[in-house]
Amino acid sequence: MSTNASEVEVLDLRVAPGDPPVGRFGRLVVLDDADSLVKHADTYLALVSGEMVSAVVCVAIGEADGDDRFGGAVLAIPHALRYATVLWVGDREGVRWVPDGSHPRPVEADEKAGDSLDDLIAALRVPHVFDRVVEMAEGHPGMSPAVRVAPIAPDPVELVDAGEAAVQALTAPEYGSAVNLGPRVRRLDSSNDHRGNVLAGRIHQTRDKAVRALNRVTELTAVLGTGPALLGRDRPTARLGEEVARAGQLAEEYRECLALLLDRVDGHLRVGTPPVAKVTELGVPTPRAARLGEIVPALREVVTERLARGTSLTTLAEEIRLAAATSEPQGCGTDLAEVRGRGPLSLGMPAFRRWPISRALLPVVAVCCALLTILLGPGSSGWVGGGLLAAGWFASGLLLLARRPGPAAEHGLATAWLPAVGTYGVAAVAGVAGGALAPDVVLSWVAVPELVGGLLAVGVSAVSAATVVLSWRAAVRAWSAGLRVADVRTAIEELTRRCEEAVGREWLPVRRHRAIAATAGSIAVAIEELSATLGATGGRVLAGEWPDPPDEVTPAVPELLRVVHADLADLCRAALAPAWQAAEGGRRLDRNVLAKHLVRRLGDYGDRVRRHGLLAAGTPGDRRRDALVARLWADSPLAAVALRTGPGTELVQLCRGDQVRYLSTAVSPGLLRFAPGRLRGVLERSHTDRALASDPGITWSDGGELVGALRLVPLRPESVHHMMGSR
Amino acid sequence: MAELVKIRGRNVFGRLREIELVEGGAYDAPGSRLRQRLVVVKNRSYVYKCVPRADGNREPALYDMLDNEVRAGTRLGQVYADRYPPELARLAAYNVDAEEPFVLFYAYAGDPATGLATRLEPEHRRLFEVGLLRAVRLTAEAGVIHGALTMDALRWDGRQVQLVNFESARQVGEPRRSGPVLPSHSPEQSSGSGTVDKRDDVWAACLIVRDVAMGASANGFRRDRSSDPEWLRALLDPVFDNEVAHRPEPADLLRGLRSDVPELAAGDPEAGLTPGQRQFDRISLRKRRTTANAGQEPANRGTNPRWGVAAMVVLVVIAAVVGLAVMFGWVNL
Repeated sequence: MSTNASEVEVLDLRVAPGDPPVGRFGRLVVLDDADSLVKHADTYLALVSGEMVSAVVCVAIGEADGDDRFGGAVLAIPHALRYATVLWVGDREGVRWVPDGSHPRPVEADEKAGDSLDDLIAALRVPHVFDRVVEMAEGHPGMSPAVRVAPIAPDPVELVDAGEAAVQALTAPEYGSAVNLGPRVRRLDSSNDHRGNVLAGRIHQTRDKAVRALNRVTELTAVLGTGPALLGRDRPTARLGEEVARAGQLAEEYRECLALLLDRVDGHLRVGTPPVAKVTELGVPTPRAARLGEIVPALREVVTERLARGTSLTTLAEEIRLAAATSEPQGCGTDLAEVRGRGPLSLGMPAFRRWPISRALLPVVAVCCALLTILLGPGSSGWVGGGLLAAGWFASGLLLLARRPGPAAEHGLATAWLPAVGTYGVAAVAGVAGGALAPDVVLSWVAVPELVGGLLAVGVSAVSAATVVLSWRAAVRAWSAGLRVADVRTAIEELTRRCEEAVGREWLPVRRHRAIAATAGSIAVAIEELSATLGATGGRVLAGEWPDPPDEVTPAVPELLRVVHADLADLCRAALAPAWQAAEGGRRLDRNVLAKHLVRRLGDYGDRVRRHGLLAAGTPGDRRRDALVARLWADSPLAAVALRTGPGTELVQLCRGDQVRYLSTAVSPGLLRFAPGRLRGVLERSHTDRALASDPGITWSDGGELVGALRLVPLRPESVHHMMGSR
Repeated sequence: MAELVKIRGRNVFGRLREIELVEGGAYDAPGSRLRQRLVVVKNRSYVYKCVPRADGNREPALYDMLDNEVRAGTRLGQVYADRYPPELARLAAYNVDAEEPFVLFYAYAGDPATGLATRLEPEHRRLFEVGLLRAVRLTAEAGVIHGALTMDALRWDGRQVQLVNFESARQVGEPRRSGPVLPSHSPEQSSGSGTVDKRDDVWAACLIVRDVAMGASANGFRRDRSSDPEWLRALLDPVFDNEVAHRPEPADLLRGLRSDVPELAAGDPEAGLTPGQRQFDRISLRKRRTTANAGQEPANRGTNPRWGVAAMVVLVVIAAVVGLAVMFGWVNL
């Protein structure tokens, strides 16, 4: 059997007294009959001189026989053990004794149940205790040990039960406790995802065209109420209808282009057709490559975190499987339906007012003309002035009628003549005629001073001009209000944003999503395999043998259950390593590979626990184990008694009452108190036992599950006889 | 060598014929409560499902199940005839009048799909979903509802789905029956109210689609669909959130999966019965003729009323003329 150099090996020469053992190394406890020490001198010589053996503690049991008892010595030690540590056990059960000259007392009946020799060996198997014993025995030919130990370890039966319960907890589904990992897993390695404007190429050009056309319509509308719109050669009224229709058409083309893009994206994501090239030709970038080197560790972190939280393997597999399904490319069916539902986009051409100068203003036209004729009259100056104003009214009305924008072009002079003559013309002529033929009474009444008359004439002309301008602008405003350029522009922006989001959300990371889904899927399968394996074999991992699992599992100590549960979860997490490697390499793992890994790890774990104890199997800072130690300390008053052992405390000395005389009272006995280092941390946090944590007389061991005290009383020099050679 | 057994069975058009079969061994396909085994007819394997007398006495409902198999199988066979789709188990023969009533199906394709949801590779999932919905569409368009659609009722050969076990099948338009409620049943099927709708199987099919898409048993852990993938919710919400009258049809779901929805090559289910109907018409006509010939003599002996009136008029005229002639002495009697 191989041993670790940091361990203490026990060699029992009583049952294997053959050839000197080879391949031993590190610390060695040798059990031997006291009367065989000299006989095994060659063996001791081989062990002590072994290069790899760091120290030997020989436990000599019984007394040397008559031939070896020179001069009343109770122990004959071969020369090979001159510099080794020799502990003499005169009797396996021992006596209760205090090395102060008092008389020894027999051990209590209940103390006989345990073999103190076993306690001694168990204590010596703790490396720190071994080293301290070697140190204390230096210079003494032989020492008589007294021992008191208390295990600070879980009950073996409870440990097996805890193993069963932990396996059950790890493999049973936990209804209602599953967490939706989908959103988190889908976002793995998404920090570099592109957001915002992702549309380019053909689709971007189509959008530009539509937006430019809308801008053109906006520009034309903005100048429609100005003079150049009516008089210039490049009049907006001439082509506004055409521009509006074109803008609507381009907006619809753009919407169709977006729908085509989303349809292709959705098709590729969902069923793999059309190919990537058919999508990118519309103007979206090629999907980015998946970075398995980033995805796999990130997913591993998620799995590790869930296992650390105590999630059962079955539940975790379910969670990861759901995450895989959620991480798959989802398509963009909703966005596609939205884009399709918004169509067709169009920009309607609202009707321009039939009469830019309202017919309700015809009396105003007539009155203005009449007033001017009267104010400038009588005589030719009156009707000439009135006639000019009438001509102005008519020309303005004709111009505005002709410049009205229509669905294709402006209405034009040809269609405006007749309505203009029939309305503005007739009203203006009637006004002039009325003014010229006004009765003298009226003329005398309106005979105003020349200056006032002139000012009134200018005012009438200004009112006429203002009426024309305001009428046109009001007509333009009313028309513009009916033109839904802003709505179409908003629709384009919304559809663009929706499309960009869909492309950014689904298309660009499609390879990443597929890689995540594949990885998560394979890990879910792997976890299920581990769960099945653990369920089939893991329940027996902490049993000494491999019995059939019990029908009913007794409730385990909660702290113990947590430790075993965490240990098994750690084993499963470690057994997943090949699955992560396969995922990172894009490979599929053969079935049962993980099962074999897990079975091997479970076997090693079981061996380790049985050999060194459950507490030794953990790592420093393991809070669960600390909690377990605290619980065990609280449940074990003997441990506290052992740790509080003083030099004058009565202990079980491993000799008979009549053998006490071989022990020296001239030299002070050495006292060694020891406890697992993990207990020290627990005691530091304790209110009642904090002083023990800082007691310099206690040796804190790295491992071990024993708390105890060891007192070494030197043998009298005459009680030991050194032999120079073997017999 | 296995013993040759002769049985008599009808094909889907009801024609009785003799079948020679050899036992092919035990057959244990999930989802069927009928006793089943493999048989070989002319070197071809068939699934033989029957109700032995002892089983029938113990559980009479088995006869109903066998009857459902026959009704569904014959209907599908008549509708799809020569273009029978591989997505549906095909009835070869049946006999419900025999000592041991039986149905004989062509050997099923592939393996049972039980538990397949967690094992399907991602690249096969869509194939499975589409195959399942095609099978449901085919049955629905033929007017047949499977009634117990679960993974146990499906077979999968790696490329194609096949729907089997029509023991709970109903025909569209029949009143729904209240019976054992399955987890796959829609609310209407569970309550047993109303009449069978062609979309009755859609609910169960969509549960399977969900299981397959999620790669897990979605009905256990995941009754809540809020965390389902977006595309899946878009596909299934109209099914699970609506009453049967407003649920999408299988063809709509296939389009939702971006699958082709070809025109069905369904024939007229009555076409296969045409020869029999013609024969019936011929027999009926012959009977009518026979009856007509037998009744001809009494008809000739009868008096046509119109001729009677005419004869009466003629007699009156003759009597009047004779009377006038006598009165005026034109005729000297």
